[in-house]
Amino acid sequence: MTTNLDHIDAETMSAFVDGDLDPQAAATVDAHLAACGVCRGRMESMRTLLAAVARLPRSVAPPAGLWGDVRHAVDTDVRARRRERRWNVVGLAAAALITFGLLRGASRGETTAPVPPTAVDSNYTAAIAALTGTVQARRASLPGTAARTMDRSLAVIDTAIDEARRALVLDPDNQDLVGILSANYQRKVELLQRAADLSSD
Amino acid sequence: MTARPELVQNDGEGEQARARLAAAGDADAFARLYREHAGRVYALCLRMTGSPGRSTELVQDVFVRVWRRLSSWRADAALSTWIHRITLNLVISNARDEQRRRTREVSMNDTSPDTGAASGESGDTALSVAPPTVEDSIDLERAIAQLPAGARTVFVLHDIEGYSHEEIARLTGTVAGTCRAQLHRARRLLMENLTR
Repeated sequence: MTTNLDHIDAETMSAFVDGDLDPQAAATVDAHLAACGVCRGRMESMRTLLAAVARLPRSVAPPAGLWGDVRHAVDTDVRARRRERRWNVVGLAAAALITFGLLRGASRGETTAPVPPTAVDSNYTAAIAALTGTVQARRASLPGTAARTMDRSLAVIDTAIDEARRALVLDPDNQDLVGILSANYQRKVELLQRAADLSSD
Repeated sequence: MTARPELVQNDGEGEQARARLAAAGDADAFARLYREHAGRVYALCLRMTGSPGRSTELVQDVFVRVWRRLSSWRADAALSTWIHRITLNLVISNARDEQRRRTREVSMNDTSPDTGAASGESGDTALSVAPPTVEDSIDLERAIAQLPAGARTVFVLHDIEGYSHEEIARLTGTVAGTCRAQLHRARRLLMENLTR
């Protein structure tokens, strides 16, 4: 604090008004104010300013048309986020197609007989069943053409899963095939989760 | 955070119900939420930026975020407090972006000395005259808008919104001592401006 023989500096005065000075410093300022008309005037000016600030309204009416702009901004944001989710669905389907193509080249033979369960299946069966139930129940809520897009994507992924499972029957120790099957199951889970999210918007 | 009085009536359960409706996509509920809170949001944006144009953009950004995150509001704080915090974060982020763009703006670390204060001469001469008439809040709002950005931020947050220096320092990424210096500067500049 600076309180020279003449006047209190503005910073000290500001701190005094806020009650931020220690008791000794505050007492010094008090004593000075009792003797100095100039500083009393300054103090009064600052208190008047702060009193006026305290009377400022906490709320200021925004421009009349702003609600329309807000509504438009929200609508735009909602549409943009839905488009982003749809592209993610398409991306998942594209990844499944690539995997399907790789599996076509990797399989050692085809069979139309039912494929026995693999160890990988059990990791995903319950989750896929639950999500499928949810999506089917909410299917009518899916926006636009999302349901058909989802069906096509699921068909691609299911084909890739089936191919991987058949390949594993012929080569059960092939860890690459295990990885491919797991990846496609995961894509299916993610696709169904996205569809569930979309249908709950 | 330092307690400050709620300035928007909080009817507790009614507010929660309306917020749930709005979060579920009820447009009317969201419109009502906007009507209840837009004034406070706009006031904070306007005083922190000093720009009506930038403020309307920020209000839109605030309510888009409110829309996105409303389902995460847990009612452990009043909805007005939650929206206020979203507004504050956006405004401060905007201020930092503005600071980076306008390099000639006074930085938050600018603690220009209060020259002449001790002697009562020069810049503090205005303080020695009769108290200014500040009954016209429009003049005061205008004067606040003309403050340098760093001083305005601290002044609005401390003297209008009621935050402590420590809270302001955390919000703005500076230190309490700098905030105090900026506040004193703001008050001095306002006094000078209003007595011209």
